[in-house]
Amino acid sequence: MANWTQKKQLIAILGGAAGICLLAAGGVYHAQGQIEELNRQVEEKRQAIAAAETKIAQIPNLEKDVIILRENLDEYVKILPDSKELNAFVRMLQQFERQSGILGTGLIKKNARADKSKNRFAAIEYTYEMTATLWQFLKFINLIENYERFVSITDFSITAGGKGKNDDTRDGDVVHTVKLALQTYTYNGKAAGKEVEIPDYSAQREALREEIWKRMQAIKIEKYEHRGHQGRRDIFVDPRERGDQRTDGPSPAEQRALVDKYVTEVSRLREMLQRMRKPDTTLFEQYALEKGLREGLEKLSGEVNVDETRLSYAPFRLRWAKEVVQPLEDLRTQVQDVAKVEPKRVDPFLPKADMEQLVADMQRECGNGQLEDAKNRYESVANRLGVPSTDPRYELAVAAKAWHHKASTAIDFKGMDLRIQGVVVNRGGRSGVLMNGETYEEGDYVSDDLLVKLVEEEQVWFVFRGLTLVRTM
Amino acid sequence: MIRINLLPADLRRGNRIPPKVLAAAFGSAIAASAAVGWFGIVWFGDLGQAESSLQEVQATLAEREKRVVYHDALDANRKDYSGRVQTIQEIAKSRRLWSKFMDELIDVANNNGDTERHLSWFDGITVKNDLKKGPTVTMPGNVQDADKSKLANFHEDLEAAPFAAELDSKSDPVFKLEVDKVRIPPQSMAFPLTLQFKSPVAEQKKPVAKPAAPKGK
Repeated sequence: MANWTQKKQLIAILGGAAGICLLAAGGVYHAQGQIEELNRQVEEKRQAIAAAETKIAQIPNLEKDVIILRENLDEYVKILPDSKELNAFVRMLQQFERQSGILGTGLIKKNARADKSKNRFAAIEYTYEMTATLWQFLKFINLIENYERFVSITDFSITAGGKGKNDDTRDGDVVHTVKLALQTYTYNGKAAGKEVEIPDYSAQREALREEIWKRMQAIKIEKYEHRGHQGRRDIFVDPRERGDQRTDGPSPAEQRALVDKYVTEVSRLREMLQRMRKPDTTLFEQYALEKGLREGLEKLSGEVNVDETRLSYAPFRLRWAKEVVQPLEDLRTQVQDVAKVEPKRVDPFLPKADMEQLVADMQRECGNGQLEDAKNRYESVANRLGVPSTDPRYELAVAAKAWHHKASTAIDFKGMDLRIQGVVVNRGGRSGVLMNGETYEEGDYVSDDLLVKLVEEEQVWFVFRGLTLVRTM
Repeated sequence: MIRINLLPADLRRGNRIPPKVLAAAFGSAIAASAAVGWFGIVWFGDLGQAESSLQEVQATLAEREKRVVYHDALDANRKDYSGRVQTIQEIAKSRRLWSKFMDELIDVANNNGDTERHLSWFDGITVKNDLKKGPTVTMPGNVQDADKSKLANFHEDLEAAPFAAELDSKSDPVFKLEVDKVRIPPQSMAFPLTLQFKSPVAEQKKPVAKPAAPKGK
């Protein structure tokens, strides 16, 4: 190098320096590349952290949701099971058959269709053949529709029976031939593995109790309660009379008259009940109406049971059920309700105005000789006349009781066998009477509570249970 | 004349490092040092810092991962349960309660016992389900008497029945007079009755309330 010329030396030095600089620049370039890569990775990780934090923030709500859903899982599995459980399904059909009274004649499983739609459920189809009355059939399908497992009735057909004279009947109803296509389902969804363990599960479940219940209601499938026969006629039976069959009972016209008679009677009783409830009806009238209503109901109830068997014409049965039997039952319930309400009244006694009315009516009726009416009037309210002596109505109650005593005594006296055959009137002494073949003088006792008080030409005065009564000849 | 240079070799003019070379060497040394220094700063400073940042975020992420796994497992559970609920609701929509329909039909035919308005009965019923078209109910029916207004009354009552709202179409009132001498009265009007219900699939296409979704989704 010592022999190098200056030029050579300069070139070597500058070249060496340039080389080092280039190497350093290359190194820096390389390092920058790595830094950028690292920064990119850091950025990615930060994004991943942000995403993770978003997910973590969702955990409380997710836990809540899973708890709610998990708590209702039993309900889902009941409605839409994972497995086919077809033995249980067939057993269910047998149980419903027994409950409804239908007679199953065949159960055929349809070939499962290849499910290309990737549905989350697979349908299993059955065809069920049976004989049943309309009401049995309806009960059967209603039981199926209300079953906990989801079952759908897709197709059905009823071929009406009752075309001939001697058709099969059950409980008096015509038997039809029924074919039914049933569809049930299993869940196809893949289970998401085992259940995740949620910390503090019990406490969270307790807190979410209401929400769990609400969500359970949301998944309930629609159901319907079949109303039953209710006196309706079978719509698959020709309701017209058969001319080729002799019937012992009344004709349709007579049956219509019978129904009309009962409908009128029920209306009368209903009107009595309405009048009884009117605010302007006096309590005395209320009692009289209630008594009449009870008697009417009792009489009608007995007759209804007898006459019901005479109704053979199907179209009238519904009217009978709706306009006679049901209203009678309602009336009976309402009358019982009235009786239940009665003890709650604050004043157990008859109001003063009613008592005054009672006394006046009894007085009038006794004066007119309507002794039975007076007696019944008192007895219909007797349980509300026991007012204490301190009550201002006491005197009225006593007066009413006195009139009742008079009426009862007079009725008993009237009913006594007293055949007056002759009288002997002695102006200066004791007169006598020939009665039932025996003679009695004034002051003689005929029996323990019957005394001959006074004998006159036209009439004999008796004292009966402390009351003076006259028997005319 | 012979000249003899008595100066030591390194002080001799001809052997001294020329100032240009010296300046160049000095400048080169500075430049090279600066370059190496820059490289050092970048390599050991920036790159090191980036590496430590990466390690830091990796550690944070690893910590979060455990909770994310828990989240994903919960989400999988939720999807499974929700899927089943949705499926139940889907198939429930496709079902029609035939016991309800039959009860309503019996009410129409019985007409509260009013036989003056119409007295009708059926020879049978066939219900066929079609997912696209909807269920079709075919019922050959009869109305007592030859009074056409009774047939019209019956059709009017059918149109007023609760199930009428779910009907897509109903056959028109037509009849054929039939005489059955065995029956009293013998005359009746036989008529075909077809009820076409709306398709549950079409119903489902309408916007309906979604099943309750979890909050924060």
